[in-house]
Amino acid sequence: MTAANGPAIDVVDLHKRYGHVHAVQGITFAVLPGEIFGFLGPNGAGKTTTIRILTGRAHPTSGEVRVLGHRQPAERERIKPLINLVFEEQNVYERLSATEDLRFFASLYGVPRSRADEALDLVGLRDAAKRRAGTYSTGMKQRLLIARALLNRPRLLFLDEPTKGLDPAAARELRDLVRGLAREGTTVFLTTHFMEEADELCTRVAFLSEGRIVALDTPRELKLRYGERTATVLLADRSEHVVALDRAEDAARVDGWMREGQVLTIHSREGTLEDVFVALAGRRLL
Amino acid sequence: MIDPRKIYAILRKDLTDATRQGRIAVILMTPLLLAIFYNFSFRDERRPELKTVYAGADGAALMQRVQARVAGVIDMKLEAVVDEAAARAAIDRRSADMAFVLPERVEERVRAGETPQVAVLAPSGSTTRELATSALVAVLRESAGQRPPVALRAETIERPGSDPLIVTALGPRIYFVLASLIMVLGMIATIVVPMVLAEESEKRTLDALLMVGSIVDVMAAKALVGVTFSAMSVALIMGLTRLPLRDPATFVVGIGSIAIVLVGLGLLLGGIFRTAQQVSTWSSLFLLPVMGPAFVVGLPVPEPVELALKALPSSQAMRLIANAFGDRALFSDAWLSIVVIAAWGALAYGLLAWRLARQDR
Repeated sequence: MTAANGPAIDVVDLHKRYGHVHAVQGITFAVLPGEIFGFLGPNGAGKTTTIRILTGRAHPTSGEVRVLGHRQPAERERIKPLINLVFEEQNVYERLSATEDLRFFASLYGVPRSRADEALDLVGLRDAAKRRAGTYSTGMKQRLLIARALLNRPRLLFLDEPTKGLDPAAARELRDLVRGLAREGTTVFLTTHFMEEADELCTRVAFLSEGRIVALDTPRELKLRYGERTATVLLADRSEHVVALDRAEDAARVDGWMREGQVLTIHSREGTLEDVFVALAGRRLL
Repeated sequence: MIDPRKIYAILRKDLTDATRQGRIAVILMTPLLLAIFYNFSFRDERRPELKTVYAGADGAALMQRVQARVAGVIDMKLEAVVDEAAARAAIDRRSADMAFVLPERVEERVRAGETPQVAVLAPSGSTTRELATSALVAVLRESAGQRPPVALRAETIERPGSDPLIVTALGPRIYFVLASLIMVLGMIATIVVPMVLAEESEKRTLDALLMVGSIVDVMAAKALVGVTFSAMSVALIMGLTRLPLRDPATFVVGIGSIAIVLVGLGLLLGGIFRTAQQVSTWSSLFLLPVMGPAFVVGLPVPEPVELALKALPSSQAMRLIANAFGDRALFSDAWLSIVVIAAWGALAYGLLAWRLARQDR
């Protein structure tokens, strides 16, 4: 299988143990080229371990991992120039300016220094480029990290909680940027705690719980399959009731209120990815 | 696989970053300032200085022969004055330690068999006056054609197995500047290098570097940071103090090998600490066994301590670099020093390679 026609990521029966801790317990999945793939799960589910293995920073205990057609970690030096990662931690060099930081990473990647300027323009950091990164806001640091991750024009980009700590406007800008990258053919592997974000961005999502993938499909399919459609009903006596539309007894109650003319308002709500996760894992993400 | 381009890029970044970090500047400046302080506090001249004035219009040639006669033990500075009153005034105002008042044509008169009177003026407590006076008498005896009663042959005997007292042999200026050199190398290795490495780990920037390069690239770059700072500091200290280097090759081997070994130990330390703050807190504990042994080399210590010193890299390095100064090599067994330092280097970098191999799994 080659990188050109195969999956961007192909993981088969991946296990990772740290001593007695079985962090990843036999997961299998594939990510298609150009896809925005959501990898969701609570803290400790095994997301970070999986990303570390996919990016060549940890060895699997067993299983097979291919990234862009190359075996990871055996061929990680061939994989490195093709991928990049925006870390959850804002790991900027605080005493370097954005220009210095990006030029440093450009020299590491062996790409022209002009890429650093292009990346600054892309993330809108040109005006603050000469300032030390230690003086940046959380959003500016995140933009710098994204610029850094785009320097080598990766075919596969890992985003680990990319909107954590960002204000709504900055988060929206970032999501637009991610969509733009995907449109241009970059495969995006996204982990996030924000279910709305995953719902909005991802082509498909995998739910990870205690080291296992408990569901993997498009957000719509998952919501249809596992989500619970509900409605909030406000009655004339100002009491509010949440009812499950797919349950016969709840539907009968709503019908009764309607016939008695007690219903003031009724707001229906589709199932969410959060509901899906709770239904599958028996607990919430946060 | 090592990638020189990546190593160079990381090295440049680290050097730029370090120049903006106040605590690293302070760490590097401390031994440098100490070296400068010692350099200006002590002189190389180990002979006592004797400022001597003489009165006597035709006494210059005679006094120069006296000066040459005592040159091995006294650094005699000569100055002519017009008369005895001027000589007394010079002693009073402490611009002279002693004075000779020579009569006119003193040498001619001695050769003619006369016994002219020479006044020797000196404040009480002058220990070198007798020696200078004896020298004057001896020179005048020669002028008078008198043969010395005996011919003396003086020889210094080095006792086997006993190292010389390094401070005496080198003089305090050289000794303390060399101690500052070991100190700066120790501080770079036990504080700067671990701090640079621990900060990469603490801020997670190490993860970003590993997305591009290998851990070997990163460690090689950090080692070069330590070696670069060591080379710059040594060059700066040597340039500012202008120590009289007798054997440059031995000096380069000694200072270069200990710098590389200590940087290796520093990289191991960097792997122990999780934060730069931890390095600040604990590094002095590791600095002590590096600096302490170097500072007692050549001093009278009990036999077990002497044996321990021979097994430690910094004390062996001090022996090597001390041999590069002074009139002659002070310590024997230079090869033992090189072997001991090389063994510590193999141990440090071997452990580092083992740790990196484990970390890579």
